[in-house]
Amino acid sequence: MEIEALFDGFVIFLSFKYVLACAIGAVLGTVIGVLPGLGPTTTMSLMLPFTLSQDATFGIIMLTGILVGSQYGGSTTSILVNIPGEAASVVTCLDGYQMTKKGRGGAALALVAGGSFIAGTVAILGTQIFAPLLGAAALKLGPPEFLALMILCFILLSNLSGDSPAKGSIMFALGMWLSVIGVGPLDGVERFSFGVSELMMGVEFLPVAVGLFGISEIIVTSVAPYVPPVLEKIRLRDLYPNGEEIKRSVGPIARGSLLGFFVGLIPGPAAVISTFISYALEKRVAKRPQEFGHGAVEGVVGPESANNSACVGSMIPLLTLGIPFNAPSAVLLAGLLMHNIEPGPLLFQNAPQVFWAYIAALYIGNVVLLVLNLPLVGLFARVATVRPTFLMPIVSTICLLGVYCSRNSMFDVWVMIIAGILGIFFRIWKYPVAPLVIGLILGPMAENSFRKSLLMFHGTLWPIFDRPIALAMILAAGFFVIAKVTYTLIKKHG
Amino acid sequence: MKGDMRSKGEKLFNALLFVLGTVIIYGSFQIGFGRFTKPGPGLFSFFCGLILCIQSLFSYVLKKERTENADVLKYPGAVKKCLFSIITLTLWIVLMPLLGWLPLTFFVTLSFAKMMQLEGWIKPLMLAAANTLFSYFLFGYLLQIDLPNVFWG
Repeated sequence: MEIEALFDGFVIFLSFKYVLACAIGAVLGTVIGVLPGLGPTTTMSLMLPFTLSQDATFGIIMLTGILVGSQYGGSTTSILVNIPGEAASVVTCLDGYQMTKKGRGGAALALVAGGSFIAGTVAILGTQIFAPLLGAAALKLGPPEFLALMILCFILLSNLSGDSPAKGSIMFALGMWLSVIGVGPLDGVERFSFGVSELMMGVEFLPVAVGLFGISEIIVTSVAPYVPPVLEKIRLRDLYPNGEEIKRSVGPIARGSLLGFFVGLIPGPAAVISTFISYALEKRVAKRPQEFGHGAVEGVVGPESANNSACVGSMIPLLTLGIPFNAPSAVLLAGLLMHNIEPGPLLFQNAPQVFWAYIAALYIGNVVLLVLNLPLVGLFARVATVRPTFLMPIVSTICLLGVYCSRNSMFDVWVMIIAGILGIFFRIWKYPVAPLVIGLILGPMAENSFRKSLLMFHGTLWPIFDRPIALAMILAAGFFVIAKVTYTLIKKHG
Repeated sequence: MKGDMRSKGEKLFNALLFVLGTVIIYGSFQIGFGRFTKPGPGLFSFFCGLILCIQSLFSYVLKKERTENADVLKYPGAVKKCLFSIITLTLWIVLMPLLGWLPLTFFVTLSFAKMMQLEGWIKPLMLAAANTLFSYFLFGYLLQIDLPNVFWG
């Protein structure tokens, strides 16, 4: 049945426009991954309006291509130039650039590409197997379980994003409050719109995301002086790793693939977290831990495999529960909602073709990325030398026009600029923006499950503890809080 | 014990978040809580405001170390460039009914290119012209989006 559905997915995918969507997404994602500054969330937000003229399958394929491609691209500049293209490649700099200095940069790139391909395939297989099972199980979840899941998300995201849990929770609460603005869907009451007619429709996700990620990035980049990176030349024959390097990479790739997949199922910046855990794990199990920081191949392939796997795995909660656990999946959710497709347990009943075409696209996209990244690695590395002086003026107009054309609304452009200005202050005082955008998109679901739970239990929430799944989630949240407080106290008092 | 190391700006920002939280709580009262057995439209936003208030107060009182991200505004002329960027983006909206989208796309690209110190005038003008053409091709021709035209509409 599932094989048949996957086959159908391939049949849908193998039409010209979906292959094109996949190729555009993969190339764009790789380029964005190579360029420091513009991350996958910004690019996915910017591309969102363009997907609106096409169907949902086209949108999800292109946006996922960008996300997965950025993980591939990010490693290139980390290894060759010592500049991480995006946050999930920071760890790769530690040993990747050291390998380049020893003349093994080409081998590192080849092993990372191979490792990322294997990790991506493992994660796709995991998604293919677990997502429909989880989707079926999620059909049995009611408002109390979703409320408990929201509480777990709130606790984990507040603690795992940024440098302080207080700031993370402030941003999450702010995002959820923004989602309340406008005419309430449950009772038709106008809330916090202050008489502004445009606000009665609510605050849209796209202008807020583009403002917070895109506009603030443009302004911050325009302020900083440009330092041109020094590029190491890589020829095709340099890409062959030797036998020992291959042997040393097998274990880290396998561990990174599994670790990344499971980290992807936890709320928070999964791709980034998985690289740090993988690096620490590889250092602990390595036969030669003293080589870490001086060009250990395990320290490059392990984290890079983990971030690719986490990136794919993090889509499972979105597809099965309709809940984004990080900023890129929040953008993907916004894209699906704009196409009137509601991800979650009913996705497998109402629009299974979207899911299976997505799986098919991931398989083929993974191959496309491998094929692209090996021979064209020199070209992609050269992209890192494109000056922001040329790039940012173009991105600024894409932000303006892209946000305007999503609803033909100048009010949205105002919202984007205000979000951009706030985004600069958030950067200055290190308030993480990911919880805000996730709060904004989760808000309606959180409110819905909160109010329905109260109605279900006649004004009290205590019966939540009688429901095993909800209880497990609340206990997990409580355990995390206790662990965090204990860790902080131990750290403070030595 | 260390004194308060935070900048005035950070403290003010924190205080503003607290004020926003109280405004949300007040607004939620106005909208109506309902009862717990029949929750009203203001109940959820009340909890959002409450979290905002408690956590910003917690941050204000307990957090004393400086968290300013030195990378953002430490460069010479940074504030001026930030303001220039915001004014340029705002002008795109304000001047739209007068000039239409293509001249404004040209203007915004040129402004950003000059602000980011692209040398001379020929390169910025060429970049602005190329980006305007690209925008026209993408938004006007390919996607056929109805953008405000003035001279040719």
